[in-house]
Amino acid sequence: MTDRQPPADASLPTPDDRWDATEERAALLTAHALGQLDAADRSAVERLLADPDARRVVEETRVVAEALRATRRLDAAPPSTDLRRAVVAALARATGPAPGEVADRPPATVPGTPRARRHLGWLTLSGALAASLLVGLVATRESPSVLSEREVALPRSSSTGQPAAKRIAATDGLPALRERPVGDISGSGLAADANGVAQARAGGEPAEKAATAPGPGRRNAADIAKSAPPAPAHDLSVAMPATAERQRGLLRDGADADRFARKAATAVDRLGEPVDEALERGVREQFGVARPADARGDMPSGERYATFFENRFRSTADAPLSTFSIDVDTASYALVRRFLSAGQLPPPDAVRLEELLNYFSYADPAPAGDDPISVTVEAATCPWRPGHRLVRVGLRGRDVPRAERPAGNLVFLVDVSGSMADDDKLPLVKQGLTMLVEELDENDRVAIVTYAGDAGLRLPSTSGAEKGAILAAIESLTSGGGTHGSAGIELAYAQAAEHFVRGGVNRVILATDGDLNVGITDDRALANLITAKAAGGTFLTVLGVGSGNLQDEKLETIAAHGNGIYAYLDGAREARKVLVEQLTGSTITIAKDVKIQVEFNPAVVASWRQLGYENRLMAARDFRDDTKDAGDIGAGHAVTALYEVALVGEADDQSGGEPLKYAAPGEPRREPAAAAGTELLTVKLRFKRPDGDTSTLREVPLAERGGDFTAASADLRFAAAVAGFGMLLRTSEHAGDATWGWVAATASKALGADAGGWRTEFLDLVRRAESLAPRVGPPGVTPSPRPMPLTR
Amino acid sequence: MPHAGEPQAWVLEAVEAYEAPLSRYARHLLDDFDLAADAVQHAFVTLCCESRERLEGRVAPWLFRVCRNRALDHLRRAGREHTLGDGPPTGAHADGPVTAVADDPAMLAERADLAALLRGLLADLPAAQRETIDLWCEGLTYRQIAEVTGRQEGHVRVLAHRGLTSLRGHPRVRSLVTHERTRVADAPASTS
Repeated sequence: MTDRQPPADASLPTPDDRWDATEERAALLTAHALGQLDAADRSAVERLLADPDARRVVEETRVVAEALRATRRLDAAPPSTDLRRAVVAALARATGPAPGEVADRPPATVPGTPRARRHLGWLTLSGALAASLLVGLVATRESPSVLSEREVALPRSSSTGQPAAKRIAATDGLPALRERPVGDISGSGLAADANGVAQARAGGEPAEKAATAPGPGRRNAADIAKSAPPAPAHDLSVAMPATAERQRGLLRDGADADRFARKAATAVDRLGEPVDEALERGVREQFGVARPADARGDMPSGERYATFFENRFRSTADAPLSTFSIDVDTASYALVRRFLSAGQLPPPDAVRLEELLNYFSYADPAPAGDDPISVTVEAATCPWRPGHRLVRVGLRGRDVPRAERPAGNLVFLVDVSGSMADDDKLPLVKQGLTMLVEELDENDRVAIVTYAGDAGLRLPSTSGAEKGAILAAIESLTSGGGTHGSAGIELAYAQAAEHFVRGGVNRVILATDGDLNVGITDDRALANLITAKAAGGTFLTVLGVGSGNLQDEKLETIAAHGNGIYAYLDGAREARKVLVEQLTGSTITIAKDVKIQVEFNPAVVASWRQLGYENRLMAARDFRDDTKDAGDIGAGHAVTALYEVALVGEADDQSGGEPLKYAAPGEPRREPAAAAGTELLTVKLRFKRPDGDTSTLREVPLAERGGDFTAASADLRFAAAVAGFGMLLRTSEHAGDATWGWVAATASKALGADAGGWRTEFLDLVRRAESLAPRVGPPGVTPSPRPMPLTR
Repeated sequence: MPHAGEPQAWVLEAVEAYEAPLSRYARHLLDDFDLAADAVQHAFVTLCCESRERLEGRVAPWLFRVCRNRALDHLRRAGREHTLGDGPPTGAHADGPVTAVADDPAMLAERADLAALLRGLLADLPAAQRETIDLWCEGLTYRQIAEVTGRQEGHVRVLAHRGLTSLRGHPRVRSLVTHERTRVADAPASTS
C-alpha cells in the first residue's frame, strides 16, 4: 500500500458510508451466510430465502467465506520470540509483589534443568518489586559493641541416609517430593513444626533428630511444609490438607507462581530457545529501557547476563530458615571492574553481590584443629537502614602451606577460536598459564588441549618439572585455524583420568571467551558430563576472558556443575590472582558440598533479607540431604554472606504479611525458650571432606547485643561498603540510605591490612562508578500505555 | 480454570491464542511486518496491565482494538491514515469488482486454489471491507468487529457484504465456486 491519493479525512462521511434498503437486504443474506444473523432479522431472511437466487447467493458466499478463512493458513508465521520476551517482561513489571512469596525454593523450577542460577528470576519475580518501606524505624541501639563470635564444633552427624552418590542436578528435587509419603506431612507434627519456630525454641537442630529417626518419617515435616509452596502444582493435592489456613495461601500462591513460571517457560521454550536466555533478555530489555539514560552503554553484542531479582525481606514467622550453597566465584567483580574501567556502568545483572563480597579476603580466624572451615558471625547496626541490623557470616577455609600442597594434575582446555585473538583473550590466558607453570614442581602434571580452532592435544600430560616443554607448548598456542571442536572436553577429561592423582588435585581448567564448542553441543549432556566427572574427582575451573561474546551465565553454570569456580580474567593482575595466588585455593578443595543454613529466631528477628546468593538458594530440606550438590571451598578461600535483619518490635512489616507475631492465629503459639530470647540467629554449616560422602555439621549462634556499625570489625564495615556498592550499581530498591559517598568513606576506613591492594583498588572503582552514575534517583517507572476505552 | 490467584497466566494464554490472528490482521492493515509486530506487541504488553475481570469474555476484541489503534498511529505518522477510512479503496480501482490483480492471467494461472486466489483479491479490496472480512475470518462476530473498528454494526454488515459480493463476483472466483458447489453440493451448478 502506498500513498496514491491525498490523505482523506476519515471522519467525514463518504459514499461508502451510505447504503440503501436493497443493499441492506442483501447484506442480511451475507450475514446469514457468515453466521452473523441477529435473531431479529431471522424472519426477514427467511422470506428472502424463498427466492432460489438468494439461496444460491448464500451458498456461494459460504464457499467463498470458507475459502477466505482458509487463506489464514497462507499467512502463517512462526510465533515471535520477541513478543514473548516483551510480554514476559511486561508481566514482571506489572505484577509487582505477590502475597505469600514462597519459602526455600527447591532448586528445580523447570523440571529437568540444572539448579544454579536459572530458576531464581521467576521465583522471586513477584517478590522482586516488593519495595522495602523502611521508614521511621527506631535506631536507638547505643549499647557498646559486643560481637558474638563463637565456633562450636559438634560431633559429626550421622548420615542422612543413603551413600551420597552425587546425583545429577537435573533430576533433583521433584522426584523426592513426589515420592514422599502422605503421612509425612499430614502427621500432627506438621502444624507444630510448620513454620519452624519450634526449631528455634529447641535451640539445637531438631531437624537432625528427625532426620536420623528411622523409617519413612525421617524427612523433617517443617522442611517439607516449607518446601511445599514452590513444589509443582501436582504436589499440592498431597500437601494441602494438612496445612493451616495461612499456609494454604502460601501454597496456592507458590503453586500459581510456579505454574506461571512453567507456562512462561513453555511459551518461550517451544521456540527452541533456552528459557533463561529468553527470559533474561526479555526482562533486561524491558527494565533496561526503563532506566534513566546513563552511562550504561550498549551491551557488547553477544554478552549474556542472566537476569535475577534480589532477595527480598522474608517474615521470620513464615520463613525462619535461609539455606544456600556457598559460592566462591568472583567473576562478577572482575566484570564490574572491566565495565567501570572502560567508562561504563555494568549491566545490573552482571552485578552479583556475593561475588563482589567474596572477591576480597577477610581477616576471619583460620579454623582450629582438624576442621577445614571456620565460621565467624557478627552483627551491627545496618548502615543504610539504621533501624535494622546487618549480619555478616564469614567462612574461612583452612590454608594449605605450599609445601603440603598435594600433587596437581591439571589439564588446560583452551579455546583457540578466531575470536580469542584479542590481546585480552588468548594472550592473557597464555600469560596466566605461564605464571602458573612457574609455580609447579615435579609433583604436578600439566596437559593442554585446545578446541574450537586448531583443536587437539597440544601437550600430553607432562611433569611440572619440565617447564621448558610446557612453556613452549603454551607459547605455541595460536587462535584461528579450522573449527572442528570435537572431542575437546572429552579429550581433556581423558588426559586428566590417565594421570589421575589419588588424593591430589585433579582439575580441568577451561579458558574461553564464551564459545563452548567443546565437542558436546547439547547443554544438558555437557552439564551431565561435567557433573559425572566431578563426582569422579575431576573438577572444573572456568576462566572467562575478553568482552563481546562472554556467556557469563553459561560459564558460571557449567563451573557449578563441575564443583569448580568461575573466574573472569580482566587483566594480568587478575590472572595472577586467580591462577597463582589462588592456585592453592581454587585447585585444592578442602571441603565440598558446603551448605549454610541460617535459622532466625522469631523471638528476636521479625524479618530478614539475604544480600546476594540469589542463584545459590536451596530448599531447606536439602540442607541435610547429602545427595544434594553444593559449592566447594578451597584452601584459604573465604566466603562472606550478609543479612539485613529487622528486629521484632520495630514496627515495620517487611514481609508484607500480617503483623509478625511468633504464631499467627490458628497456629500453635510457641513459647520461646530462654536461650532463644537473646539469640538473633544460628548459623548451621554442613560440608563434606573432599573424599567423603557424609556431611559434617557445625553450628554457630549469634546473640543480639546491639553494636553500632562504626564499632564493628573492619571486615564487616568493608563488606557493608561492598554490598552498598553492588546495590547502587544494581539500582536496588534495598539500597536504603547508601550513597556512593558513604561507600567510599566506609571502605576507606576499613581497608585493614589489604595485602595485594585489592581494597584500595575498590576505592578507585567506587569513584569511577560515582562519576558514571546518573545523578537522578532510582529509575522512574515508565507509565504503562493505556488503550482507548472500548465502547459497549 | 484459572482464577484471580493466578494473575498472569491468562496473558500468556492470550498470546498463544491471539498472536497469529492479531499478526495477520496487523500486517494486512499496515502492509509492514515490523510495524505490525510492534502493534501486536503493544496490544499484548498493554494487556499485561489490564484486569482480567474487566476484560472477561472480550479479550479478543479488546486486543484487536488496541492493536488497531496502534496501527492507526503508525498510519497517521506515515500520512496513510486514509487507508483505514471508509473511503475509496487503496488500490488503483475505486469501487466495484476487483480487477487489477485478478485480470492478470499470468498471476491467476499461478493460483492453485480458491484460497490462494482470494488472498490476492482480498488485498485489493477497499481497506474497510478487507478489514471487516479479516476480522470475521479471525472469528470475531459483527458486534465485536463493530467494537474493534468503532463502526456501527449495520455498517459492518454492509462492509462485509460488499467485500464478499466483490469477491464472489470475480469471474475466476465464480468458476471455482461453481466447481466447488458442484462438488460439494453434488448438484448441477448454474453459471450465470
